[in-house]
Amino acid sequence: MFIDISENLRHFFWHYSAERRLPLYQALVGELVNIRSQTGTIENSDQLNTLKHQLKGICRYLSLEFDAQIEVITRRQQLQCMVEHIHGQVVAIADEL
Amino acid sequence: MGHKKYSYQKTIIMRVFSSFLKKIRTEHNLSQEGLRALLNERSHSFDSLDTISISRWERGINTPSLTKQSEIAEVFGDDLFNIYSSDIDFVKESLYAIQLSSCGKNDKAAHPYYKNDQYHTKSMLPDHVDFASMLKLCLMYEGNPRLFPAHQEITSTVSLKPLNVVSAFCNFSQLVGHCLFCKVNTKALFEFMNCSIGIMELLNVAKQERANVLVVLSSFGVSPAIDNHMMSVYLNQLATDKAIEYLSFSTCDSKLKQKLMQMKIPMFKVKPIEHQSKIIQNYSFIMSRSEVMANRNMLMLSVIPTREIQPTNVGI
Amino acid sequence: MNILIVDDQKFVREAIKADLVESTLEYDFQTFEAEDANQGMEAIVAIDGNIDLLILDLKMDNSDGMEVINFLSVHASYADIPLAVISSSDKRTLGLVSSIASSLKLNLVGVFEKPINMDFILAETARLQSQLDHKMVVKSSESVSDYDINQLLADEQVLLCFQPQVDMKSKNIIGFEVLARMHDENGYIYPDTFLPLIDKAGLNVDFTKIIVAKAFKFWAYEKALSSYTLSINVTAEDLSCDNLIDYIIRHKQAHADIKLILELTESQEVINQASVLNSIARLIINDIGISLDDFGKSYSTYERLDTIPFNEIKIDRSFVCDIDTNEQHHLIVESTIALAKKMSVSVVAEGIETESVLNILAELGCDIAQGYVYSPPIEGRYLIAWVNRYVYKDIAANVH
Repeated sequence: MFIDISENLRHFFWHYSAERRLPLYQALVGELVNIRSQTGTIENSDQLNTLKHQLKGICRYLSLEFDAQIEVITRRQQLQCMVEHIHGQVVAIADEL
Repeated sequence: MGHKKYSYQKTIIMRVFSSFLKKIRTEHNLSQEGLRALLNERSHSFDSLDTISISRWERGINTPSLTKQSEIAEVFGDDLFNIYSSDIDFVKESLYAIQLSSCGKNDKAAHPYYKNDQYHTKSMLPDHVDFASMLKLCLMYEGNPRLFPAHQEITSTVSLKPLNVVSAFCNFSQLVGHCLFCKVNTKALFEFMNCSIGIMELLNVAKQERANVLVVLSSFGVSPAIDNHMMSVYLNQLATDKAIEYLSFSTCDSKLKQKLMQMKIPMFKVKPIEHQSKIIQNYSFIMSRSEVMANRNMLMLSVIPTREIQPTNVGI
Repeated sequence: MNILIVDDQKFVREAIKADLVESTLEYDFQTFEAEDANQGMEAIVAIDGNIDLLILDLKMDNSDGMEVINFLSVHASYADIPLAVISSSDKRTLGLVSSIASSLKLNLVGVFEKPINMDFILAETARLQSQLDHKMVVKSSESVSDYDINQLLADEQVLLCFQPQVDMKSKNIIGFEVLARMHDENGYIYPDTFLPLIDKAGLNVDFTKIIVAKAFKFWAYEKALSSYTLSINVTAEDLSCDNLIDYIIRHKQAHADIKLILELTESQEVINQASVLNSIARLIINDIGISLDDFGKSYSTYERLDTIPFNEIKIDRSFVCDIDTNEQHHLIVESTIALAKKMSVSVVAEGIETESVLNILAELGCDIAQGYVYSPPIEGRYLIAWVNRYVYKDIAANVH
């Protein structure tokens, strides 16, 4: 299911001055890629929970109310799906920054 | 300077009380021993009292604490406020003490427009034409989110009935001090302090139930003199209205909290209030009438009848 | 202003730094970063503790914010560093961390949920700093040695106040708790001020004796009060003093009709169990009741329940006063009452301020109520008048 978060992302980045946006963007993308790749090597529920917690922190910063959705994730495919969902839309607004 | 000032106050207190004792003994035809026996019999605080102490009290060599004085006064159907407010010297000394800084700090106020000038005060009830605007200013200063609904109800000030606002001005329009208080019922007051009811409900209940507590919601002055003056207004109200059994403060102003703690008033509760994603601390205090009257600073402030305060250009 | 950010997520660190740049407050910020607890602790040492604000993430990959918190508490020179804990954890966990940091006496600015508002945190940090500065000033003007405790005791400057305990079913007054006050020429002096002085002067036992003597004299004199129980506070140390136990028993024997309960306040100190139990046995034999006061506040609660034969439990006011809004406290009080019933002892709830709390306690089956909802502590000289007013249902009608 596609949830359009482009407005949330714009709102977040516009909060900061132009010269801060790029480093922030790079850090954000770096984190998302990191979580995504770690998702591929998950072996137990502890590791899954750690990554869920990290994603939750990021979503909170982006004012994305995904706490509930993240909570119910039990399989790594679900987590992967969600991270890609967000990552894709972040990359899509790169030109606007 | 503070120490000297206090010794003089103590002298006056000793004199007032010794006159009271002599008067009482004459009126009731009691010797010093007779008085001792009577006090021993009527009260539980004078078990080890001897006649020599009474003699010392009358001669002004020493004097019992205000608490003990109060018990003695009560045995004879009198009270401290009555005794001390009738003594011209004591009232004069209290008036004088108001003008001085209580901590001996530099009194030249570092204030943008107030420099120990003349000021005058205005007392307002909700039906007064300036009540609404003065109340708004008080609430802005105090910053207590629990009082804000009163701000919105300003169009119908009748609903704010038990509220009293006293404001101090210099140069006709600059606000240099204020106090906000009302007389309510203790049951409703505790419900307000525990956030079970809001300010409008509290005021509403106050109209129906017998009031037995005077609660101060804000009290402030740009200089210690004005600060004390504001305090004397509601303390005098408390002292003269015998139906009031308790004095309470409910404030978010940490300066007022500091002042009360320095006056050794025990704090009742600190409650954090969430307001627009900030946390504001609300401090409350409560004391019984006898605790107030036994507090030397408060007794002094209470005997000053409000209309008699003549703000003058007292330099330090 | 030196700010150290300890968080495993680069994005979060970048966002915080960006926020600082945008900040409306005028500070010169120098930021330091650490990815985990170890790096964080190394950074603290490297900067020599010259940190104006430490922003610490609670749950990090491979490490744990608590390690840093413990590190700060162990090193006195770092305990003063203003600490802001941030997390995406739930409110209860945040509340717990806040309690721990406070009890470790750290300089806690607050515990904040992500995303954090830097302006707010900076404002809180500044406010905390000015409060600390103020505390220093106030402390020095209120020097503890202002009071000559020996003189005050010699001059009989002790006053007894009594707070009513009311039976929840019948609404009748059951008894009164004795609360001492002292006074001097400036006004009243309260227990939190004079008790440490008494302790320092080694006059604990003498003071308790004065309270016992005054209370008994008052109760014996005022026949109208004799049917009400007298509850007097004692500490575990008091109970180890044979001299004091003798004194109390003598008074009880001289006034057999006066019902006496001793409220044993919980203390964290190690008590000599044998001598205390011995004293309690003697008291019980002489018909004196034992009440466990401040129930639940210390670690030794259940140990005491197990070893001390008691008649009554008193639930501490901090649990009672907000059971209508605080679910955790509601649960604690509920289970304490249930426990008391199972052990067939009576339970007193103190610190009741409002009717809504009173009603909940009635539903939970609490036996006795004490608190401002009935009355603040009443001075001895006004007690009879208060009792008369209550008994003639004036006050009772108001409360219902």
